[in-house]
Amino acid sequence: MGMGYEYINHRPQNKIVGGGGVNLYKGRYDMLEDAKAGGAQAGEKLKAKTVEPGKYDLILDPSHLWLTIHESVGHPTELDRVLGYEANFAGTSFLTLDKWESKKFKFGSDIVNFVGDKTQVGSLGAVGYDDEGVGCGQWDIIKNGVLVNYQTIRDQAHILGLKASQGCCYADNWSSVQFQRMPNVSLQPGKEKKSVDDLIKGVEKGIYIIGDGSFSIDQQRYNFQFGGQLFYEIKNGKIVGMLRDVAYQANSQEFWNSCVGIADASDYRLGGAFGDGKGQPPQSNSVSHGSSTARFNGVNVINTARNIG
Amino acid sequence: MPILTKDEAQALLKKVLSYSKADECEVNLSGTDSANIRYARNSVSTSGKVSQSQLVVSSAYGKKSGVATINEFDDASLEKVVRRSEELAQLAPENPEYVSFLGPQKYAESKTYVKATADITPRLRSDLVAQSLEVAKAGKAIAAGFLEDNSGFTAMMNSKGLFAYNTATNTNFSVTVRTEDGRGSGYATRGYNDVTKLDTKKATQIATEKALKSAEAKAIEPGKYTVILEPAAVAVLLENVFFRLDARQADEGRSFLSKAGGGTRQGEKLVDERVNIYSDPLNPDLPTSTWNGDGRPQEKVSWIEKGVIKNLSYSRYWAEKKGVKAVPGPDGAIMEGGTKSLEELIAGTKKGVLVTRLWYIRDVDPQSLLLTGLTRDGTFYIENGKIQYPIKNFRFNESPIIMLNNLEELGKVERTVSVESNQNYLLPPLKVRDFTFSSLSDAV
Repeated sequence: MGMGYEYINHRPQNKIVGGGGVNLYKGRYDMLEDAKAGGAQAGEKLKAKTVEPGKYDLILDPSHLWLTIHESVGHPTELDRVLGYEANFAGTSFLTLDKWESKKFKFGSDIVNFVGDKTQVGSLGAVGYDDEGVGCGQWDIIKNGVLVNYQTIRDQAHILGLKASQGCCYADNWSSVQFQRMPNVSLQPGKEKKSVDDLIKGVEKGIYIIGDGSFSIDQQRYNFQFGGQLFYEIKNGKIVGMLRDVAYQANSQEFWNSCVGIADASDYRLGGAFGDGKGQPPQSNSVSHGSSTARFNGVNVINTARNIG
Repeated sequence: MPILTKDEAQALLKKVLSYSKADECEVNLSGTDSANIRYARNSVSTSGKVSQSQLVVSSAYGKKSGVATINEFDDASLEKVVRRSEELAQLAPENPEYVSFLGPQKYAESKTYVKATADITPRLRSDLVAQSLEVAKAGKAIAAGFLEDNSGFTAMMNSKGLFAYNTATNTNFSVTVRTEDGRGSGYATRGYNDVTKLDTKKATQIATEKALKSAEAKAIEPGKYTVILEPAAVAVLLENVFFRLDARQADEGRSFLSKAGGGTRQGEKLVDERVNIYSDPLNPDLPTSTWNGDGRPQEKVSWIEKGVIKNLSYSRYWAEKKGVKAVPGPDGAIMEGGTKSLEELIAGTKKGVLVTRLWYIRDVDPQSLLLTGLTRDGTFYIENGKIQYPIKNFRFNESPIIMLNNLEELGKVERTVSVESNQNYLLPPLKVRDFTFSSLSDAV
C-alpha cells in the first residue's frame, strides 16, 4: 500500500515564491519538496542570529497570520463569550456590546475588513446549514476597521437586532450540546495591487514571519504573544538573513490598528485548525482563516532564548 | 454497558480474541458514565449525562498492524471489528518500531473507585451547584462554573495471555466568580475520586472573596518578582515537566532533558535540592490505575529526587533499543512540600505577588522549557507579609526549570486540578524569586 504520501499530487500552478525565495503553496502542495526545504531551513535556523528585542515592523505571511486572526479576532467576536457564558473556562471578551452599539469602535485601521463565512470553498468550516438547520452565508464583522457584528446562533440573533441567526451553532459529537462556534473569519485582501515584495520594500527595520508557532492570549483577548517558524530580518527594504528566538507581544486593538498594508487578492491563502477547543466539557471545531500577507508597524518583539544550565 | 464487572469484561474479551486469525491480537475495552452541570450568569446553562463504551482491536501480522474500533457488542459486530483490524493490518506497511504485545503481568489492586461518586444522583449534582450559586448571589457577584463526575472501567486482554481490569471514579469542580461590574474576578478548583470530599460552597466562597477583593486593580511595572503560586498555578507550569519526561525526546534533542552533544540529562542535578517529584498509583490522596494503556504495570517512580533527574519514561520500543526497563510515564504526579499554609507563606514575604491561577500556557522553546501564559482571576501585591492591593494581570515568560532553581519556600501539599489538562495532582504552593512577568494585560 505504501506510506500514504505517494498519493498526494501537488500542482505546480499552486506554488508561489514568498519573500526570501521561500516556497509557499496555495491549495495542494508538494510534500516532499516542502520536507526537503524544512530540513534546510532548520539547519539555517540553527546558525541564525538571535533577535535583538525591540520594536519592529512585521510582515506576516498567511501561514502565520491565520492563528493571530483566530485568537485576536475570531474568539473575541463570539457573542456567547461577550455575554459571559464562557467565563469559567475560555473567558469573556473585550469587545463588549457597548462597543458594538457605538458603531464607531475602532478595532483596526481603515484597511482592516473581516468577514465571517460558513460557506467559503476549501475552508475547514464550510457547511451549508448549521446544527440548528440555519442556512449559512457570509457577513461583515469588522468593516473599515469598525466593529459591526459578532457570531450568533438562534438564541442570540435578536440581541443584535438580526432577523436570523448567522448559522454558527455546532456540536462536535452526538453526545455534545450544540453551542456557538467560530465560523471561518478572514481578513479581506488589500484593494490596491500590492505584492509581498512591495510590502517588504517599504520596511526599514522589520521581520518577515512564515508559519505558526507558540500562541497565547488572555481570557478577554487583549494581550497576546505569538511565535512562528521562519523569521527573516528586513533592513532597508531587503531581507538580509534569518533570525531565531523571535516572539511578538501586542494588544489586539493596538495590533490591528497598526496594520498599514495588505497584499492583494493574488496572495490570499487559508490557514486553519482542526481542533479549536471551547466549552465545558471541551468540544473541538475545525475552522479556517484567510488573509493575504500583511504589514504591522512598531510591534514589540521579545527574545525567547533562555539558558537552563 | 457501560460498567462491566471484571468477570463480564473478561468473558467479552475472550470472545473477541476467539475471532482472531492474526499473529497477535490485543483488545482494549472501556465504558464510562459521565455527567455534568454547567452554569454561567448565575444560572444553569447546560447539563447532561453520557454513557459510552468502546472496544479497540489491534491485530498484527509480523510488523504490520491495524486497529479498528466499535461500540456495538453483539457477536456479529465483534467478529466484524476483528476482521476489519486484520484487513487494515494486511494493508499497512511494516512498522519498523513494532514491538510484540506484552505477556501476562502482575498488578497491585488500585484504589481509584469510590462508590459514592459512582452513585451520584442528579439531585446531589444540582444541590452541589445550587450551594455554589447561593454563595455567589449572596456576595452580589456572578458565578460561572462546571461540575463533572465520571465513573467507568477499563480492561484489556491479548493473545499472549495478558489481562488487566480497573474501575475508577472522579469528580472535578471549577468556579469563576466575577463582580457585577466586571472589574473583579476570582477562581477556585477542586478534584477528587471521592465526591464526599467536595465542598462547592467553600470553594465558591474563596472565589467570591477573590473577586470582590480584586476589583480595584492597580498596574505595576512588569519585571522580575517574588511570586507565591497557588497549587492551581503550580499545576499548569509543572505538568509541562511531567509530560516531558520522555527519554526518546531527550535522546533526540527535542527536550529540556537533552544533553548538548547527545544523550540525556538523567542523573544530573537540574533544580533546587528541595525538589522531589514522584508518582505513586497507590497514594491514598491521588490514586491512579496500576497499569497503563499498553498493559505495563504502573509502580511508584521517583522522577526528580533532591533536584536530580532520577528516571525518564520510555516507550517499549525505545526501551528495547536502549536496553533499559520500559518505565511508563506518570498518570498523576506528586511534589513533596513543606509545612506552611498559603497564609504563612504570604506572612513571610516582604515584597511579592500572589498568583491564584495561570492561563493559556504554551511552550515557547521545548529545549529550555520556556513557557508563556498569563495570571488570571486574583493577582495581588504583597508587602510586609500582607496582601496590600489587587494588581492588573501579567503575561509571564518563564521556564519551570529556572523557576525550580529560584525556589524560596514550599507550602503544604494539596490536591489540585490543571485548568489546561483537567489532570489532578498533589502539589504545594510555591514561593519563587525572580519570576519573569514580561507585559501587562488589561484582562479581568
